[in-house]
Amino acid sequence: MVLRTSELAYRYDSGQELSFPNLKSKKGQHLLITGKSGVGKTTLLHLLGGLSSVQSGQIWIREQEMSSMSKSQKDAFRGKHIGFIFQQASFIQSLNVLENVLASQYFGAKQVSATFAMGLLSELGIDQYAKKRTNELSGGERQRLAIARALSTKPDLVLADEPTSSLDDVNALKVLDLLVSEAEKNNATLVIVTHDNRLKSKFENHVEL
Amino acid sequence: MNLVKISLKNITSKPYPALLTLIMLTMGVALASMLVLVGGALDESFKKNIRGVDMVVGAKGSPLQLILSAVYQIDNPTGNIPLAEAELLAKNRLVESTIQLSYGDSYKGRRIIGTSHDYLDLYDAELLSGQFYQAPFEAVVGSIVADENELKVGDEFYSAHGADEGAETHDDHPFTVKGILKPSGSVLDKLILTKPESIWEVHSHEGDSAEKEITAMLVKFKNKMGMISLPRMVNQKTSMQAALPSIEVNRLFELFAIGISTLRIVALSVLFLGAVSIFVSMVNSLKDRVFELALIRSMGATRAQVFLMIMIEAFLLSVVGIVLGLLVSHTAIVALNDYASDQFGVSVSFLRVSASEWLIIGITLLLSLLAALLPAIRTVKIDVSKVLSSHVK
Repeated sequence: MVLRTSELAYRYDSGQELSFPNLKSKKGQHLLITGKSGVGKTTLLHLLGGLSSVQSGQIWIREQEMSSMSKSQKDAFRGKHIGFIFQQASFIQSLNVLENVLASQYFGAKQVSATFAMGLLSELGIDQYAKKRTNELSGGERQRLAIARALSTKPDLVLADEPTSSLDDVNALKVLDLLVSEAEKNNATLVIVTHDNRLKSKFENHVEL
Repeated sequence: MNLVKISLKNITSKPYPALLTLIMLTMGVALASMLVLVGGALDESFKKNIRGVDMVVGAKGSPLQLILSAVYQIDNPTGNIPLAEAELLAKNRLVESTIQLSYGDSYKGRRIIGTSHDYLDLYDAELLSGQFYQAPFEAVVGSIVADENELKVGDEFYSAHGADEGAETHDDHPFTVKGILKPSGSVLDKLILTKPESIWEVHSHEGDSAEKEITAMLVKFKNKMGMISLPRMVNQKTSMQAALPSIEVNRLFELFAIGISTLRIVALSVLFLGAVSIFVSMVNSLKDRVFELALIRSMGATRAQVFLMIMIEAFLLSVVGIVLGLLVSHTAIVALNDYASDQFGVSVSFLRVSASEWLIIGITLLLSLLAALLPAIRTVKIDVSKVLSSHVK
C-alpha cells in the first residue's frame, strides 16, 4: 500500500469537526476524492502530506506511520516521497522555470539533476520556457510546470488539490491526461481532491466526502 | 541549486530595497573605516615621532609649542637656550642621551636643523645616496625635500632666515648637498640637516655673542626616575623649560577628541541605520514571501533551511556592503594620501585591512545578522497548511 488511513478526524480552531472515510491506495492505483466545497478536501490533503498535524486517527504512507515522525523527519519524508500540486500554481518568483524545478529537487530529494528536470519540462511541452520567469506562463503552462515540479523528486505519491478547476475544459482535460501519464511514467500514485465533476469518469478508485 | 544561490536570486530579483540597504551599509562602513584609518595614521605618525624622546628642553614659553616645534617641526621655536646650560643638563646622572637641535632657518619653506648623526639614529633613518655631512655648510636632505626641489648630491642652495618661504636669504653662505635620506615616514623626510656650526656661522654677524646657543634639546632618560624629578628641576632651577612629549601629545589629542568621537557616533549611527534598513526591508518583504516560504516548506525544506535562507540574504547584503564600504574609504584615503602625507605624514596602504577595520567588519556583520534574526525566527513559525489554503489570487 502506498497510502492508507484509519479513523482520520480533524477539529478546526472554530470547533467544527470533520471525520474522513478510511482511504486505501495501492501503488499505481490513483485515487479521486470529490466533495462540495467546505467538506475539508484541502484539510485532508494537507493531513496526508504532513503539512498539518494529525489530531486523531492514523496515516500510513509507504507503510510508515506519519504521526510517529518528528517535525523535521516529516519535512524530509515529504520532500522525498510526496509531491504537491495546488489549485493555484505558485512558484518562487525570483527563480526561472527550470530553476523552480531544480529548487524542488534541492529541497526535496537533496540531489539536483538538470537533465531529469529538462526531460520533464520537455515531456510536458514547456521546455522552451525553461529560462523564462514563471509569471510569463499561461494558466495551463503554469499547471504543467506544477506537475513537473511535483514529479521532479520522483515521489511515490502526488497530492493534487483541484489541479484543473482553474482551467477551461480543453486545458483541464489536457493537463489531467498529462498528469496521469507523467505520474505513471514516473511510478507515482496520484491522489486528487476536487469538486470538478469533469474528472469523475476518469478514475475507478473514487471516494466521495 | 543551493541555499546561497536561491538567497542571491531573492536579493537580485528585487534590487531596489536591496540597493537602499546596501547604500546605508556602504556609507556606514566607509565612514567608520575612514575614521579609524585617518585617526590611526595620525596617532601612529604622532607616536612615531616621539619614540625615544622622553623630554624636550627649550626656551621658556608654551610647552605644547616647544613640543610642536622641536619634535614635529610644525610650530615656531619658543626661543634659544645657552649651549652651556644644556650641556650641563646632559651630564645629569638620570640622563641617558641627548640630541641638540639648532633651527630657525629654512630653504623654500623646509627647515634647516643643526644637529648630530644621533638625530638620524633616533628615527632609524638611512642614506639613500651620498654620505653624512662632515663640515659646516654640508647638508643631508630629507626625501620629501629632495623630491620637491629636485636636489641631488653636490647641489648648492642658500638658506633663508625664519621658517617662511620667501624670507630674507643668507646669500653669503651656500650649503652643499652631501647626502639624501631614504623616506622614513618620520619628521626627517621634511627636514634639511647640517652641522650646528653652519647655523652659528650664518648668524654670527647678528649680535656675535660669545655664548653659543641652541634651540632645543631632545632628552632620553636612564629610567623612570628621570620622568619624575628632571622636568621639575629644569623648570625651577634653570632658565630653560622642560616639556614631556607624551603629555603634550595627549593634550593635543584631547582637543581633537570631541570631533573624533562625534564622527564615531555618526559612523555607528549610519551602520545602525543600515541594520535597521535590513530589518525593515525583510519584515516588509516577509508579508509577500510568506506564501513562497510555505511553498518551499511543502517541497520538503526544513524550518532550519528557511531560517538559514533569510540569514544568508542578510549576510550576503552585509558582505557586499562591507566590501564596497572598504573600497570607498580606501580609495578616498589613497586620493587624500599625497596631500595628507605632505601635511602630516599620514599614509595608508590601499590593500591592508587594519585591526580596527576588522572590528568594524565584525560589528557590521553582527548588526546585520541581528537585524535579520527576528524576521528569520518569524519564518520558523509559519503554519504551512494555513498559509497554503488561505492563498487566493
